[in-house]
Amino acid sequence: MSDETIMVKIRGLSKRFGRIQALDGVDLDIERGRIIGLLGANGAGKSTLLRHIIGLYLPDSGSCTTLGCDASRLGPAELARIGYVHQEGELIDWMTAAQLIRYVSVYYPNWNKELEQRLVGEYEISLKARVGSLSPGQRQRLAILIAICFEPELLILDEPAAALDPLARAQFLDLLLQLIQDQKRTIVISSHILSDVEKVIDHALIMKAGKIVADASFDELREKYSRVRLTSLAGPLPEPLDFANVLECRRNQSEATLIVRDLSPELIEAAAARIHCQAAVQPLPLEDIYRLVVA
Amino acid sequence: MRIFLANWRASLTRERIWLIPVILCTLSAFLAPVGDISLLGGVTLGVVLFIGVCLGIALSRGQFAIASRPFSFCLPGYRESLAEVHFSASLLFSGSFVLIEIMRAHGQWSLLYPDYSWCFLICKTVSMILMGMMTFLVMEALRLALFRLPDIVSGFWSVVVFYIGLGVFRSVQVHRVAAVVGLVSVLVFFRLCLARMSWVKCAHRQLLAGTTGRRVRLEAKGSVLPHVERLFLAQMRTSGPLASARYFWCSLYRTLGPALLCWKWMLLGVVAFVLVCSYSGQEARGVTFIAIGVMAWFVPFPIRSNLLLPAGRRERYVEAVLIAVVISLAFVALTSAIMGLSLLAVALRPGSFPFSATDVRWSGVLLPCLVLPWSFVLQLQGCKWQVLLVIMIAGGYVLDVAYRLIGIGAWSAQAHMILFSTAFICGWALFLLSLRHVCLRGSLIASQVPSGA
Repeated sequence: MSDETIMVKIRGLSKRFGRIQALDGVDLDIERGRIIGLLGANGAGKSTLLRHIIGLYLPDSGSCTTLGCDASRLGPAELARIGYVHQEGELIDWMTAAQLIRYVSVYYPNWNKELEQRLVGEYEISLKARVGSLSPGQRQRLAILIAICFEPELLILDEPAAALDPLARAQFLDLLLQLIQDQKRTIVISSHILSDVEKVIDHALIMKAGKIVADASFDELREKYSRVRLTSLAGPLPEPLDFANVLECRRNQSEATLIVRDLSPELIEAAAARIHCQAAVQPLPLEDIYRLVVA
Repeated sequence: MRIFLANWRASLTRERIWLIPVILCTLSAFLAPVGDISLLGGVTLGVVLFIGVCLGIALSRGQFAIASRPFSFCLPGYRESLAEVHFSASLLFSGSFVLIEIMRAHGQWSLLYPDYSWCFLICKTVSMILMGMMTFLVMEALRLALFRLPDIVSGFWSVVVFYIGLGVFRSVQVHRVAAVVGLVSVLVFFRLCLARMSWVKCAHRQLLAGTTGRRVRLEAKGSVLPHVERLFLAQMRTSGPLASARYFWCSLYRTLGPALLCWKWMLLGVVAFVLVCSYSGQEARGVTFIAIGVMAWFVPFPIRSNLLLPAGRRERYVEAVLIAVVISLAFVALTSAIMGLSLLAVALRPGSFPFSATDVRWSGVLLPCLVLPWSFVLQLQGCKWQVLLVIMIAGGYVLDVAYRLIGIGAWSAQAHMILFSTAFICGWALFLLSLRHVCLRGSLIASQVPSGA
């Protein structure tokens, strides 16, 4: 993999806050054009990792290179290519929404006015309202708007939809899907709403206690874990079931539902045939995959 | 654990609670050199009134926090417990009055009282405790019962005026009257007020209303004047996209914006400050010292922010240095304006008003350059404004005592110049080192920064 295709390169990154080890030797490469879902429980280190990528935190040890530059030395040229939406939705409270948009747009020569106007309409942003008086959902929409209207190459979204209502979340997902059309754009999205994330991501990173426990394409994960529904064709199911790599099993006399790992559909078919069963293989939703990986 | 102890234990985890005794002790120490209030003319009355209002607000905020804690509602016997907590807090408050008396004794440079004075002090201490409790409880009642800010402020003022009146016209007889009134008010307060649930409910309702009220106030305010915004945006656009000048103008706009938003109030504040300073004479130096330090805390440096804009760590450092210089110059201009207006106020005063113009000295004009870097350093270290207030008051007091003890006032002009230069260089060097550390090696995540940063 050439360095030009790698947007973010992290090696042995560790960060400690007092007694808490927030990041513990993280290694990661983020390739250009990827839509990455960063998943993990509260306190797993997702936000800390994202903040290292944009240089807001400095590592205790290890290195983080963003857009070919050490993250601690990111200058205006590199930062003008990065968009960031954070979970707190912190903006400049004393400005009106219109003033904030005007203020932020001055920083970026490639500000997309057309996209701005479209999003203001779609998100129903009240331009005359003071930012400090907006509801959390409206603030979050405004934060999203100012993070994407300059069309960044690397878009980092830290819990962007946490404060949004279902309708706004759907709009936001539509917007993300439109952004994905640009093949050069890289998006890293951290979220707890896995059902939303799985619609847009092509790569998943799962974190636990400051470490990355899974780093694979979403397709690989879906192939790795699958749900098998077995129906007996002759009499009761045997005890035990002759299946390898079973993670979970629920069964009765004639039917069983298994969650298996690293079994191809062919192997599952063969194993089912051996015990005179019919097998129906289904992919697992991201939520279940996440639960299995973290467990 | 008893509910009483649980209440205190939970409350002590909130800094505003433990800050109260600290503020009280510092203010007591600050008041000590003032001496007997009955001897005060118009000169220091402004300072005492200012401190009285600060005391009232600081105290009732702390107690309000205790009274409005919702967990109390679910516990058996919470009303009695709350009454006990209030009672103990009022005792704590009264302690400050005793402290003031003791400090006054030392303020007169007499380490040992004559025997008869001890007896007098004991008698006075008892009445002081009761008077202190009464003051506290009346303020607390006002805080709990009244909703609108003007009512609360006028309530505080009536208490402060009452207290000052007692001080000015005090005699042994007045103390006896105060003791009786205090005792009665304590009893009435506990029997009639705190025992009623409606008081607690009222406190909780106010707590919730305060949050909503803030939002309503924000909506009601106007925006920065359009031509001011246009001016800044034009300056930003004329610089190149990645030029340092653009970042400077952007940061300046972001920093000055909140002040520009309430420029009318600021103008009013300057006029009020001129009146207080003119009325306070020499004591104005202390007020200016504290006011500058605290006001500087509210200057939001554009360093720590979760709003990602294309300004790297180095740019943030340079911006912050430039902003600090601009703010310092603005403060110098402000103190100069206050001194100028103070002279004007004296020239225009009616004959019966005891105004005295603030000293126009270069040390006064350049005072912000000495105070601001220390305040900036504390802000950079994440110090809260209440803590800063205590530090500034304590610092002002220590400097004042040192000034009198060492006799700095009598030193030659050259010595003054050397002292000023040393303090100036040390302050700014410390600020630059601290800023450099935060910008280049620290976390840039906003956690305890003023709104608008």
